[in-house]
This record gives sequence, structure tokens and C-alpha cells, in this order.
Amino acid sequence: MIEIKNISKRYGNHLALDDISLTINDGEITGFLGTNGAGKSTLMNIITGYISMTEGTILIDGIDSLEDPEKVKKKIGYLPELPPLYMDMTVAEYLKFVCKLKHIPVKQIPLEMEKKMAQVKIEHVRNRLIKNLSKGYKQRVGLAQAILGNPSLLILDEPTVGLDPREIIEVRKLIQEISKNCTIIISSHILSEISTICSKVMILDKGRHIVTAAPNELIEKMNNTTQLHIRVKGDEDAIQKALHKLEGITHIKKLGNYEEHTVDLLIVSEHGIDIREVLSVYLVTNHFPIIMMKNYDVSLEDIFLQLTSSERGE
Amino acid sequence: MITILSKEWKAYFQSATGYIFMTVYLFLFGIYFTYLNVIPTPNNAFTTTLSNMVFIFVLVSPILTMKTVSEERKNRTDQLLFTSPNSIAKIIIGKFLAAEMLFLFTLAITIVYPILLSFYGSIPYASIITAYIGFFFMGSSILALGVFISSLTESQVIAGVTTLGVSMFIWLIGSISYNFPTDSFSGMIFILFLFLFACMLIYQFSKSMLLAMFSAIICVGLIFGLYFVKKELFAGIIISFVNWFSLPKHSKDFYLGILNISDLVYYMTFIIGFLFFTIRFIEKRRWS
Repeated sequence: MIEIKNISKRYGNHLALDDISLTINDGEITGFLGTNGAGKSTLMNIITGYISMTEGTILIDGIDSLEDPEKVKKKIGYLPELPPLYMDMTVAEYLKFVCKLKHIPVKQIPLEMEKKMAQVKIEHVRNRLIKNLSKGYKQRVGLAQAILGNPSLLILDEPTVGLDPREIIEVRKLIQEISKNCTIIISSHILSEISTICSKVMILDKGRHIVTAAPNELIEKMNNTTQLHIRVKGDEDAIQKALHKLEGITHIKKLGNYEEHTVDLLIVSEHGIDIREVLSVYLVTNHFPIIMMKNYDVSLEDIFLQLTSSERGE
Repeated sequence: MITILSKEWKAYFQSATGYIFMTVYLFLFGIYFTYLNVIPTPNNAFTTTLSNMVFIFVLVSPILTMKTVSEERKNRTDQLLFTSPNSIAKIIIGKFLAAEMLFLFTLAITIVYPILLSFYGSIPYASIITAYIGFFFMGSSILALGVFISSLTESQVIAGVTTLGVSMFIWLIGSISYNFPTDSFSGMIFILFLFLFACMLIYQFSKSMLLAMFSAIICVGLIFGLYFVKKELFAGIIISFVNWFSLPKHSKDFYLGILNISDLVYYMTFIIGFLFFTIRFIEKRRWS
């Protein structure tokens, strides 16, 4: 279990992390979500022991990271945003070096390397210089070094950034495979990635903790209204005026004009009230033909923007 | 530590660094040896060749140390090292020992020259051995300084040029120190500045203005007090202080065949001191 308690980090006068607390249970995949500069990498660097916190404590399986850093580091595998690779080494040389760095017994090194290379599918590039590999393969080598020695906590900082779509899918698959054996913390600003991989999401903004919940819980929490996207033909002002008279509608927002003489509107109604039938009859009766009507699903993107902008007072 | 050492050792020969260092150094050593020992000159002691080669080492040693920490920072591979279950001290000592091994290996090759000379006459074995010991410790001190400077920047070029500049300064400072003032007042002002600089460092590390001010007041009081009670304490202190930093001054005895323990302790202190500063500096960066 990982317990992050009241972590703050200051760089001079700049507060990079402000009183962050979080508990992660064994086997969970937790996503750190935030825009660039939100503090995701700083928090990860603190957990791994690369930098130190200004205040707070981190306990990994009950061990304080400041009291016994080497023991804590043995439990962690880390893939930073830029994989820490030595370009002049071959893949095999590099992984052997990492095995030794992690104090894996010499006799176990060949087997451990084989296992991990097979797991991330890099056996066929073992004798190639790292500098000659594609970005996707470099990321795999980075991932292999992180999982060497079977760490109980794996920390991945934006593991799919800069990869092509095929590589992204493959790396995600790999992460899901690895997650069967350890606890994972993953950071990203790609919301779909977090929602597909993670069982828990922590949203950070400007170093502050905004919310922690399961992705579907977040959607459920925010999705307390029924929203419809409609495209109606007719005079824009007249349509809006007419809709304001209809009961059950709490909010109307213009989305744009995508076809001639039409307007796209977002209609928000009270939670649990299905106004589709009433709305269509009402608009047609008022001589405003409906060209299109569909449910407007709240995505994690909407929630993220809503939460971070409300925190900023926008 | 052994892991880092062997990785760094291989890295010297995977890149051109190790070959360049050895080629340049051994080539210049060969030229010096030929002109000072093979072609007869008035001053043809092998120990003179060795003492001259120390200056050449000052010029080429940045090749060995400029990359040690700076390149790890630039390529972000320091994230791998410092998040591994190894202390910063082990990592830095491993890197220093790799540079040291290459230096020692190169130095060992030059032993062939006195052996060659021994075929043509008797040579003073004892003074040559002490000269080699002096050379080794002097070179190791410059390497420790180079590792420290490499930890201050991400640019290996800046690290290399700075190491060269500081080493040259330390090399020359002994020769120019005789021009510095020797009177008590100048000595007192010099010490005052030195202590105020130390107080600035206290503030930099502790971020406590109160502690820095308190230290400064005590230092100023003590120095003024001492100056008025015993002026002669400050006479010639600038030269003594500067000479302490002059690495070549402490190696003179070795070339005369004297194994001076106090000079050995001086070099050991210099090496351990700069390795300690390197570790502390990296630690401080983690916390700031």
C-alpha cells in the first residue's frame, strides 16, 4: 500500500505541490491527470526519491521513504517521461546494467532479462544500439528497465507521449498485462488513456488536488443532468424564445450553426426527466422542424475541464 | 559502486574519450621523455619529466571528468541512477574511481620509460617511485575537482572549460602568491571577506537570515578582537592561505624522493573534500 501524506513541494517561492494526500491499495492502477505543469511529474519524482518533498511523508508498504530510501527504491520501478537510456549501449548491455543497479543476483540476471524482454517484445532488438531504435522501441526498453526485478510499485510518467497510434495501443496493452502483478501509477493528460487503463483517477491542477475517484464514478457524479444536442430549422432567436417557455428545461446553450437556416443547441433538463417527446412535439407545433436530436454524453474531458476551470474561478 | 565503475570504464572506450586521453597524454609524454631523457640535456632526471607531465595532465584531465555528472543530467539518465537502490555517494565514488583507473592505467604504461633507462645505466628507483606517488595523488586531486565541477552544470563543454580554468588557476596561484600583500591589515580584511563569504553560504544552504546574520556578527567580532589583541597573526596570512590551495607546492618533496606524509594527507583531504562537495551539491539540488 502507498500512503502519500500532505506532500508539498516548493521551488523558491513557487508552490509546485500543495498538500497532496492519497492512498493507493495493492494492485490498483491509479492515474494522475492534469495539464502540463499541474505537478504530476513532480509528485512522481518525489515518490521515486529523485527529488525530495518540502513537507509531508510517503510510506511504501509501511516504510518511510526518507528513513530507508534504498529499501523503498528497491520496491519501485520508474519510467520517466523521457526514458533514461544510454544511447551508446545495446539493449542487452543496458538491461544488464540496470539489473546490476537494482542488485539482482548475478545468476538470475540472464533469466530475468529474457523474461522481461519477452514481456515487452524486444528480444529481436537485443543486440542493437539503443540510439538506432525507433521511439516506440526506446519506450519499450524503458518499460523493460522499469519492470526488471519485479517491483511492487510501477510508476509510468506519460508512457505513450510521442508514440504513433499503433505504438500507443501496444504500450497500453503491455501496461495492462504488467498491471496483473503490481500496483501502477500512471500520469497522462490524455483522458481516454486514463479512463481505459485506470481504476482510480486523481486530478491535479496547478499543484493542487482537485478530486480522486474512479473514472465512471466521476462521470456519474457530474452527469446529474440530462443533456440533448438538437439541430432545429428556423429563426434562432424565435427558437430560443420558444424553448425558454417550455417547462423542465434548466439551461440552453448555443453550440453553433452547421447547416443553412439551422441552429445547434444544447438542452439541459432536470435529472431523470426525459423531455425528448415533449420537446419534439413542442418544436414541431411551433413550426420549428427538428433536423437532428441526440443524447449529449458527458465525457471525462468535459469533467476535467469543468473541474479545473471551476477551481480557477473561470 | 562496482557496477557504476565498470559502466563508466566501458563508456570511456565505447566513445572516443578514453582513446583521446591516452593518445594525447602518451604522445606528449613520449616527446618530453625523448627531449629530456634520451637526447642528453643539462637537466636529464626522469623525475623532471614526470613533474613537467603533471602540467600536461592538468591540460588533458578535463577530457576524463567533464562528462561524468553533467551528461547524466543532460540526458536525464541521472533519473535512473538516483532512483535506483544505490546511494549518491556510491554513484559518485564509482564515477570518480573509473576516471582514476583510466589515469592509473595510462600512468602505468609510462613505467616503461624508467625501465628503458635502467638498461643504459643506474636510475634512482626510490625517487622515481615517490615521484609517481606524488603524480598520482596530484592527478587524483584534479580529477576530484573535475567531478565536482561536472556536477555543477548540464553542459559538458562548460564543465570541461571551467575545470581547465580552475586547475590552471590552482596550478599558477603558487607562483604569483609572492606578489600578494603581507601586512596584518590586508590579512585581516582578507579573512573578514572570507568569513562573510562563508556566512553567505550559510544563508544559501539554510535560508535562515537570522542564522547567517548571527554568524556574521560573531565572525566580525572575533576577527576585529583578534586583530586588536594579536595583529601579527594576520601577517602573511594571504600567502599562506593561497599556498594551501597550490597543488604543485605540495608535490615538490615527492620529486626529490621524499615521501611526505603531511602532503599525502593534504591530497587525501583535497580529494575527499571535493567528492564530499559533489555529493552534498547533488543532495542539495534534490531538496531545493
